[in-house]
Amino acid sequence: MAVDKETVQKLAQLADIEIASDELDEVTNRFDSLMLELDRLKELDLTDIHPVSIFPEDGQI
Amino acid sequence: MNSTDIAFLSAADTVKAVKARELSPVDAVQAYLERIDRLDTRLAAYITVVREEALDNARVVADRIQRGEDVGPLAGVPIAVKDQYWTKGILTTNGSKVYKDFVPDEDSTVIRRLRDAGSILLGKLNLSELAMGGTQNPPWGIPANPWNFDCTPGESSSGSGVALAAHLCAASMGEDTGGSGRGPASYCGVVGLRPTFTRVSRFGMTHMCWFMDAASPMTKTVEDCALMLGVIAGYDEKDPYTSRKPVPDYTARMREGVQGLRIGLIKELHYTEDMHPDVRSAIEASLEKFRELGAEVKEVSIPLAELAGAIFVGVADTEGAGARDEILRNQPGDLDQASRTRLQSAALVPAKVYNRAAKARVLLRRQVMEALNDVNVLVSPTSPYPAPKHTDLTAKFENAEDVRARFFFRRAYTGLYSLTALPAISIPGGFTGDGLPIGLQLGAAPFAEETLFRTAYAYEQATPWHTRIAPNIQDN
Repeated sequence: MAVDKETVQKLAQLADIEIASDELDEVTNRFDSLMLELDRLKELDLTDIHPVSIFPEDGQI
Repeated sequence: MNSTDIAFLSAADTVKAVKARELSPVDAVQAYLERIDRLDTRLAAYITVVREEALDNARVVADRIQRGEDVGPLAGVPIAVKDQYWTKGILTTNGSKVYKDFVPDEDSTVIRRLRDAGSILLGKLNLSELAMGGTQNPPWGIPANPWNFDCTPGESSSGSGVALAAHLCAASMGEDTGGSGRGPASYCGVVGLRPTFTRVSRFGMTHMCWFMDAASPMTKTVEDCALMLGVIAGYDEKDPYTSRKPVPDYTARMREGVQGLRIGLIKELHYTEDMHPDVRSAIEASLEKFRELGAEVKEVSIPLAELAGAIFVGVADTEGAGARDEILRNQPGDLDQASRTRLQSAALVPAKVYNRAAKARVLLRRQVMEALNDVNVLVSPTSPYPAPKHTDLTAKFENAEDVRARFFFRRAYTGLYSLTALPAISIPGGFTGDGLPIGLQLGAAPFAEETLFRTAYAYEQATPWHTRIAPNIQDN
């Protein structure tokens, strides 16, 4: 997935964040890379897993 | 002892000398203040030096010792802490213009416990903005790595790494969300610990990601680190997530050696093309050393380890961006360009992607715990390469691949333990051909810090790395 600058601008507007025009390339590169890396997680079977914030001290999850 | 000899003492040796009345706490503080005056203009380790308060407190400690009182396990040790810990009446900037006027009205629990143990606060140390990393123009100067002024000391506890390597304090506190304590320890050739997540109170520590932030003792030696953790660990009613497990004497079993321990090299963090060859050689030499010392060494697999950097950023940065929403919307101009663009990009991550990363974190924990059923200690480098040049670290990203190579890759090494809430320590593990420190990272099961200290101490005592002095401060 390649994210373009227009998409980043639209997302930023929805999130009520103002991105400076001279920093749009940088934010787009960072966001694109993050989405590409996290896209790799789609291959994992995560169906029986529930997110937790803090792991139990001794028990398995 | 002359002032240089005093400043080069470990914290443990400082305590011994102070308790034996061979060293006055006032002389100890003055030795460090003199070095700070002479060296820190170039090094930029400190944001604030509390000269008069430190001398006053040193006199109090000296008087108590004269009266025969037990001052505590850190009696007379001059310390400095990352400027992320609240200190009553002392500026606490978090490395950001956003907090340039923030003066807390109470101490963080870590600071209070360090004071109660007899240590003497010298000042507050520089850091990457908001404890994130990559800051291009730190408001209080660019911290310089004593091993090579052109290189970064690491992020975000940069000042802690510099101050220890340059002997501008006897011991320090960093903070470690994704490797912010272990990373600078690695690049500066000192010791940095990330304890089990609930081991140390986070009350009064400005948050980056509240369910991964951890107080990080940073020290000159493994023994000092064990000493510091013993002081700061334990339940705190102001942080209800802290564990009620008893706090052991972390130095008690430190000298037992590694005979009988099983040590596992994490394959996925070793056989990678992008690792610096000198780092790879150092890790392989460390495995040989552990064998010589009587440990059983083997390889273990943690399949998700190579994605730990991405999972970490997906969870921690997104969480951090949410927590910084007010600043992002109302004060973006007060942020450094790197912090601003990093937080802005993380703020755009869709909920389902965040949720997937949060689930992957749990799967990663299962995989690491499975590996720890097979071995007592996990081994990897702390960073796959030595300290980069400042200019390489802060250069704008050219494209998504550039972000992957310079941003995600190294975060897998330290992010692995941050994500899984497990303890890990970085200790000096050798040097590159260019004379830059290499960090050896050891990880263990929840609350197995004693095993970590035992393993780290055995390696430290069998190798010369911790005795080297950075060339740029050698004659000073």
